[in-house]
Amino acid sequence: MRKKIMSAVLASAMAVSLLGGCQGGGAQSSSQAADQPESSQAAEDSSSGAASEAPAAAGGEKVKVRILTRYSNPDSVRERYFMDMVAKFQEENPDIELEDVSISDENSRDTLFKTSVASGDPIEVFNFLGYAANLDYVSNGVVTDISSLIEEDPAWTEKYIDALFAPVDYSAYGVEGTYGLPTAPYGVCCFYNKAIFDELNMELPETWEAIEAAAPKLIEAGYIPMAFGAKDNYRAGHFLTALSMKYYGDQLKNDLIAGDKAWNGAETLGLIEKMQAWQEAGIFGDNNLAYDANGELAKLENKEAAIIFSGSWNIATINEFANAGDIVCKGFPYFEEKPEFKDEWMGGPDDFMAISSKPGDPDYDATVRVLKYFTSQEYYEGMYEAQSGAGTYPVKFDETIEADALTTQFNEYYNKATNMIGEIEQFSPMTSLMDVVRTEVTTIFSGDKAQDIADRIQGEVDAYGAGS
Amino acid sequence: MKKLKAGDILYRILAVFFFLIFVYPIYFTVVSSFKNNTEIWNTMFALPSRIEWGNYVSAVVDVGILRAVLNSFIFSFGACLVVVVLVTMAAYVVARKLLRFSGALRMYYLLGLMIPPYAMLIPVVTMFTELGFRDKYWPMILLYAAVNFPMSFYLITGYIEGVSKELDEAAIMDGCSTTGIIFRIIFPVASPGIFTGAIISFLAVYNELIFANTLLTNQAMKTISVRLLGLQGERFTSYGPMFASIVLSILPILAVYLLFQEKVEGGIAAGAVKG
Repeated sequence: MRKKIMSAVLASAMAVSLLGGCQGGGAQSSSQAADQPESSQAAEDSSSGAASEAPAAAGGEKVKVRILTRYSNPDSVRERYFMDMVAKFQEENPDIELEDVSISDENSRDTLFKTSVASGDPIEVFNFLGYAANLDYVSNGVVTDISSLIEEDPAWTEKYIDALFAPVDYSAYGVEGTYGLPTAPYGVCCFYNKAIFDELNMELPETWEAIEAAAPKLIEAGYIPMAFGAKDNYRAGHFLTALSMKYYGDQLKNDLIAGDKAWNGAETLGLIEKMQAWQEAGIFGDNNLAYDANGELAKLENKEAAIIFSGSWNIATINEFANAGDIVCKGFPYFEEKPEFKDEWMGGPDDFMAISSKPGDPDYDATVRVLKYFTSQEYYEGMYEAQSGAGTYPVKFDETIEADALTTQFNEYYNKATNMIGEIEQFSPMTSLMDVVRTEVTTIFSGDKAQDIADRIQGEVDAYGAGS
Repeated sequence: MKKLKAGDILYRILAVFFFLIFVYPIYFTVVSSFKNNTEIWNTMFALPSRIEWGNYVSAVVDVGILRAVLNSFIFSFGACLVVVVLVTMAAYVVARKLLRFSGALRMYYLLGLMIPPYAMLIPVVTMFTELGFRDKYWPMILLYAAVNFPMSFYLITGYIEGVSKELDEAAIMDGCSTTGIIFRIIFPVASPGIFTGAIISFLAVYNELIFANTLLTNQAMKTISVRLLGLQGERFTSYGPMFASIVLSILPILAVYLLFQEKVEGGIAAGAVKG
């Protein structure tokens, strides 16, 4: 009897531990996943996944489609609109079970997507960033080419702005096709609290030289010349790219990506040194690591910061400030010594909506319906209305709402842009480069030296080059 | 009136000092849950100028934090129960060396401590997908129990080894079965150690994010951590509703703590010197 009980106890314990104890197999599988391009695994597995879903689809039951975006915050007008549209889609399409698995935190979103791909069950409709950093997903078949869908239904995308498709055009890498539709174009810009400048009887500084000259007076009056919320590490990445566009145009980006210039070469090092010098001169204020982009907005509204470096995505939020009338939007400051790059911008398309289902998969038709719904002209018209015309859109509108002052000011600059690029690292196939650059440049605010920062970035790039 | 010694005064000053340090995050969280974003950043320590009840409405209606709290509680309590029952039985067998291969068994269970749970994320996701286990309570409870099994096993085995064998022998003499010995004799005696394992498991599951984020995609199944993360917008974080959600998610833990205060404190104290 005693032995029987022991056996039962041990069997139960072993059974439970086996669940977690897929450790051995798990480690093997993960390493296999790491060795094998994860997307190719997914491509192979997608057919088996599809097969398992076939009976349900064929049996007239609901087809389940998952959609993954970074829109999960109900407090944001744009994200709330997306959530409402998910509910509306569900009402209008009872034959499809649309599961919104969106999570706005970038790392969690990436983990969710990568895990779904590596486990052979890629999420059907998803947002991705495009550019070379996502080349693996495209070349290994995780992302489906939608060019035939666009050709079959030209009305679907006829009002899209053609230039926004560049980051999902991988023909330069020998991969033909269109791999997504742009969803959120943006442009970096600056917001000025004009009341501060009026109070000090100063002009709004639009060049770095003017900001350097204005800074002592602003600091003396107790204001932060340009608040920099370094707690969000994307702030440093955006800033470096925007700065490089104003100083070198896109030449530095091209050289860095081609490997013709090093990240610790004179050009990039010079830009990081400029940031460091401004930080040491108090232009960015202090305790930068203690606050994020929300903190920047709060400082602007609360008249603590004279300027914030931000982007078009914050126009709707700033419009809700009690003192929104005091805020003015201008382009990212340029250099008087480099007037030729005055209208070179960091911006363009941000996210792309893409699909993983392939023609012939049982969920393909449903997936395409979902994709078309969330990228349709009607979808963006609704969003345009929900945001009262504020912000930027990937499509042109026949009828326009009279936009708010900030959007109008932003568009004045945005429309003058002669060139526009996303963050430099996005153009590199080294997926981790973005995080490396953002994190390293952020260390300016913890006292690291520009040379060390540049060397560490180059070290990572070299290690990647040696390993690939 | 009793005269205070210099040591007593120092002790009281330090007590007040540490009280303030520990109460500060709670104060900050509660106060911030009644403010809007701008006020949170601008007047961090001050009381709200205007109470933002909307944060709580948003936490309950938009975020669905109450359902998330319920889900987290179900997963935590379920996993905790499974861990306590199975680990106590397994720990007894191993601690008393009732089997010839007890040593090997101990090593097998402890191996789980050496491997980070997230190293098995992909195989677990694959297994859950293949078996249709996603968005279901029981498989998640078993997974969480498995992940927390090794640590609790390590603690409880150590504690049971410190319990005198004579108690078992006396029970056997009185005709008690092995199951009876475990649950009638060992369980009450080793309860401080068992509670330590239970508390650690409960909190680990209550705060877990990665498995919950990847395996629970149905909105109705999401847990507190996933819901809170959702408030961190793409480029805008809603701190007011986030703090309101945190306050609401702390309440059940606080209730559990108040109900089982003695056991919890006993368990923590036992954990400090055992294992």
